Amino acid sequence: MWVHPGLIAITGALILLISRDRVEKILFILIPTTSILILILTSAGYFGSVPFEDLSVKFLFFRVILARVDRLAMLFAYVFSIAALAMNIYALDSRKYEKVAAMIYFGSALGVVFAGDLFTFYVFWELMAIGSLFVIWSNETQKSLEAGFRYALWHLAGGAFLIAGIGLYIIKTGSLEFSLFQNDGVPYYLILLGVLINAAVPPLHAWLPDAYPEASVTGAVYLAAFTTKSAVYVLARGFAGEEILMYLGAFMAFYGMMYAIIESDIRRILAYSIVSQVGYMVAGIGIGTAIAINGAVSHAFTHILYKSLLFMATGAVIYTTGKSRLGELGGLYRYIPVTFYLYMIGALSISAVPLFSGFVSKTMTVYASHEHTLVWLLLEASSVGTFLYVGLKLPWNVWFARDPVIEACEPPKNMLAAMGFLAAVNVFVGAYPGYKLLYSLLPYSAEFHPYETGRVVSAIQMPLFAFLAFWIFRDKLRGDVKISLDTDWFLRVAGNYMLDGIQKFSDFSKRLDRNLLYTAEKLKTVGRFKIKEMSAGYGLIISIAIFALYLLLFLI
Amino acid sequence: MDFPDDRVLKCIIALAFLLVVLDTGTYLLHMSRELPVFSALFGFAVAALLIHFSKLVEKAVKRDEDYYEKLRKGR
Repeated sequence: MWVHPGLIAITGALILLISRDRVEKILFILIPTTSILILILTSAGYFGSVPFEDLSVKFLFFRVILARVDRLAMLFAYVFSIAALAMNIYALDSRKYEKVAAMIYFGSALGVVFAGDLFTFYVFWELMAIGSLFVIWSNETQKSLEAGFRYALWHLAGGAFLIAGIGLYIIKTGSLEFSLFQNDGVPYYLILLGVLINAAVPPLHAWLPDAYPEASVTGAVYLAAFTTKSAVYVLARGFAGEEILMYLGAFMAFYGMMYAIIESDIRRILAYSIVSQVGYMVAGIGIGTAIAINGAVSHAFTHILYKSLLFMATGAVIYTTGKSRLGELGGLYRYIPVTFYLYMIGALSISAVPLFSGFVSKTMTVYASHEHTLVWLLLEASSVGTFLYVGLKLPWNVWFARDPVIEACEPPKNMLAAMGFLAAVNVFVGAYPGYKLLYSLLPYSAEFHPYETGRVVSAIQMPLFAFLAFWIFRDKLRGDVKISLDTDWFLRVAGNYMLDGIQKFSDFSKRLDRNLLYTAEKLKTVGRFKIKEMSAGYGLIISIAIFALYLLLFLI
Repeated sequence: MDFPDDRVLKCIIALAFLLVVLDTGTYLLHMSRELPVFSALFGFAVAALLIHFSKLVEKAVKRDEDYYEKLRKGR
């Protein structure tokens, strides 16, 4: 019988609760390591040849399949586990509470990618939302608490759309099957809407740049990896070739990039960068050809690797300086050069520079979009923009730009080790995409060779000339201490009006109460009816009678 | 018969012009992708445009850090 790595992670998380000190740390490293070992054994055919289904149980009228192991699931499971190992090394000294939440989050993300039916998928999907919520809250600040509540509201809404869609879908098709959904109207679009909220597709994305920067430096690293990529997995599994996703994805890539350029908080820049990069994946899935889907899922793979590294490096900056605004940083190269070089490996990867991981995935997605000029244009422009904010603006303002305004030292060894590990994986995947780690895991067999002369020259030319433009206008990209309004403005303003309404209603009720009491007092003195002597029971009976009378009149 | 409102006519002309520009632009872009140094020019031009465009976007969406607190208090 196959051993489910997600269940191992969740069980491990529960054992973490009662473990202490060294045992806690060893267990924390063992959880993702075990997961990687299970995946290697699965790839080697130890549990049977992939694809296969396992761990099925009878539930009501359905057969629930806890695990469906195929190439698509394995690709995501591998990268989740590799990233989780690096993250756990990075977060070795984090609070127990955060460790437990993070491992439940990781385990449920694995549960989503291995889910063999809609029921299992939904259970793990919701568990993932709960795990991530506690990761945000584990920062234990007022801002993280508030951001967590807003995050919960978004995900509750997403979950509600999803369960409504799944319910209607099961009623319509009579099947729990979790594969390419048939477009049969309302259920299809409800499920899509639920998934798009988790994928952070604008205008449903505001929870991401709102909540992620409020997590702890270690918590943000976990958040960067699992939620949006699980949504990408579901889109690739169930909505491949849905045309609207192509346009949404291209818009998303540009939108996220634009906000990342104007942002001045280093983790908020990276949060918008997630929106932008997930846009490439969504667009690829929308295009729907074999090479486009390969490009989308391989970009999810590399994105987890380089975005985790970027969050770790910026987290290290915040950890050592206590500052996160570009305007409050600068000149740090003198104190933390190693963090800078590790950060730059992530930055060159996301910018799709040859020999770094993003190159072998982003070029595939952009290549697949060639026939759709508008989509291609938005993706290419976003690529230039990405290099501008993550490869130039952010490092320039943090490590250079001015004399040091604050002293700092390199982060602890475990943090550096985790970043070093991920940097090495990024370079390895970028330099040897054909080796066992990426291209051999892709779900479709489509030929693509990233290292063709023209493609390599083009990929070097673009950032180099973008650098020239940056250098000429670099003063325009200095950070400030302002916030950017986004679509969450509507929610916050609506929330304010709602609170306002509740307050007014409450005031009105109080006034009404006073008037009623006054009238009752008058009645008591004028009439024979003794209100004071009337028991609560009589009051209830009279209320029900009035309500029944009202209903009767209404029905007539 | 004249148009009821001049603005309607202006909008139709502007829309027609925009579509022609978009179509031509898309076609030229599609063709020019094969030209040498296209990526270099594209990288430079897009980066310069984005930097300047971002200043416009900043004006529209940037607010003071205590914007939401003020909004809450002003309620």
